[in-house]
Amino acid sequence: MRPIAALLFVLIFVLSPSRVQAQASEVIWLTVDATSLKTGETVRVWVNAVSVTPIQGFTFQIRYDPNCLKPLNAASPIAGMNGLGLPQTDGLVDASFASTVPQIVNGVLAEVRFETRGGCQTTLNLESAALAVRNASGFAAPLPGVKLGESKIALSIDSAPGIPASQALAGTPLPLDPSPASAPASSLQIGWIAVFTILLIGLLGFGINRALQKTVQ
Amino acid sequence: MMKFKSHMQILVALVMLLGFAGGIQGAQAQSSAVVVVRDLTYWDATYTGYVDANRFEEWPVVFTAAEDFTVTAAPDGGSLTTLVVLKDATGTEIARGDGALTSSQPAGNYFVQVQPVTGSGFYHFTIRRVEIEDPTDPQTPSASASANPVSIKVGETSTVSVSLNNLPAEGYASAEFSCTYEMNGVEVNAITFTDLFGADPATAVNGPAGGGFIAAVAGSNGRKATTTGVVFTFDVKGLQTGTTVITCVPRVSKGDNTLTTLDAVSVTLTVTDEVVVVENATLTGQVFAGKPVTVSLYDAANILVKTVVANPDGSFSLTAPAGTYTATAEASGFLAAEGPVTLVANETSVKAAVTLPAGDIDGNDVIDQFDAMTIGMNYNASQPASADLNNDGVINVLDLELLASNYRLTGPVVWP
Repeated sequence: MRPIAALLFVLIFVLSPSRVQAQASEVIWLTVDATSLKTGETVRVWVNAVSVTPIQGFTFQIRYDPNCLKPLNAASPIAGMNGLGLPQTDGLVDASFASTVPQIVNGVLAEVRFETRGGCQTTLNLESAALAVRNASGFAAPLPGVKLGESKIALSIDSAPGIPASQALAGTPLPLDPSPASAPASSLQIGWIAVFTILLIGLLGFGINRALQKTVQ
Repeated sequence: MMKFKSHMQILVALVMLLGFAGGIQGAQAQSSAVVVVRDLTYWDATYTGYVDANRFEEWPVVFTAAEDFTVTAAPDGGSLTTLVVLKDATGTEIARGDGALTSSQPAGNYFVQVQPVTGSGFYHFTIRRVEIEDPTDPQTPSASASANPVSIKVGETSTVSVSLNNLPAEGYASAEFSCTYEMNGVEVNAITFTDLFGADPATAVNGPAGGGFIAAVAGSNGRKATTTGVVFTFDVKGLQTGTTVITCVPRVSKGDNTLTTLDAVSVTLTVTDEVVVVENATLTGQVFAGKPVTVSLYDAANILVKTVVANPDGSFSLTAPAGTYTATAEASGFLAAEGPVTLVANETSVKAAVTLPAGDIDGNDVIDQFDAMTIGMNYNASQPASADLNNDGVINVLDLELLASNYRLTGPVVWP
């Protein structure tokens, strides 16, 4: 009876789906340098991955609260993995990187920087992410079986002012500012534009007036 | 003995006398025998005659309609063997037979001459109608087939019905039809059995294949076919012009484990040319993209009807039969445009100008990160060609710029 039970146990262990998944899984997850911050400080977010398959690109989308955070830029420390400048929408970092050569990644894929905007309790959410390979036709294709690991990170932002990070990003920074079209202008911005326009018109009128006076004299 | 001889002499004398009384014509026979013409009044009656080497007899026959008949001249014992010769009105021989003959003749005047082959003596003459088995005879079990319509055009379909007629009182327990047809001329399908053999019959179909099929049906739970009716039908589709004969050989069983073959039945189907009057219409328009554009028309069944490559400036013109279509414009690496088109015969329809959004490099109807990454992975290369959105031979930031301007768009875009 005992040998049969042992054999059964071994069979279950060997055939266990969780074991198969553990061997084959390639994971992407988020980490941050700090979860408690002050206003105006820089949040450093790392997108990490482990892959046994050489990849030629990756993409990730991080959802954030634009009232609490302002995306600054992103960069990949992987040599030859270049950021692709694509339109951004408010509240979502959409970053893609690609390389002309395949390479195995094990660690940080990219660093993303945010600036804190004010007192907030907020969450960064790795909404989607994919590792990409170049298929036989030359097209980027998602590497199948990649799972998301840690994807939500809560941040506590104090309204007290802090100090922005001065350390430069490793790699070429990829701007992540939402385009003006997708980021609605704030009332403050509109006010400044109005003041500037009035000043410009005033200066123009003043200049014309002076020129006319000189002509009369 | 003497008495018998005298009787015979009297009889011969009487026959001779009757022969003359009946209007004997003194005809010259081949062997110089006298041909005595006899009177014949009734079908199936038996007449008595006498022939010998010098005397032949001729029986005039008048047919008012075509007849199938048998004539017999049976010797009344003795050494006589007879030869029966059928002649027409002019005396020309039509047929002959030893002791009897069977023939089919149209309406007209004929003569049946009886002469001895050997011996001489009396004979019994009879003419009878022949009962030929007629499929239309209400007493004879038979099969029949009909096609509706009997003439079709290529691509059209006719329905053939195969029936059993005049079934015996005890009925048929099962029937099997082996049918053949010209497989290059027609196509057979939709073999459907009726309830002639009762409800829920057992059926089997072998084929159609190789220009033939077998259709078999048997009544279930002791049911039988007892009345005339259609056993099964099948559709015949014309494949090419010509005349096609479809023949079915029926075999029937009364439930006694014996199959009896009935006469084969045939139906002739004529397949004629399909005459299609095509009224063409023209569609023009202009599609803007940085790559060669292909414009296509699809019909309601989504079957490609026409396709053209637009000119370098995006303008195009294509001709197609009048009708309603879906027009598509496609270029490698661009989202497609799609819209409805109604073409009117002998008229030109103008489709609104449309610009295809660049960036759907992998052709999945969405411009996304993977299209962008394809540019990054193939930076400064020329392949895949769909990533070279500006068609300058190199995949670089200029292509990424085009893609970025349409990022997240999905297709196909509406082509009004």
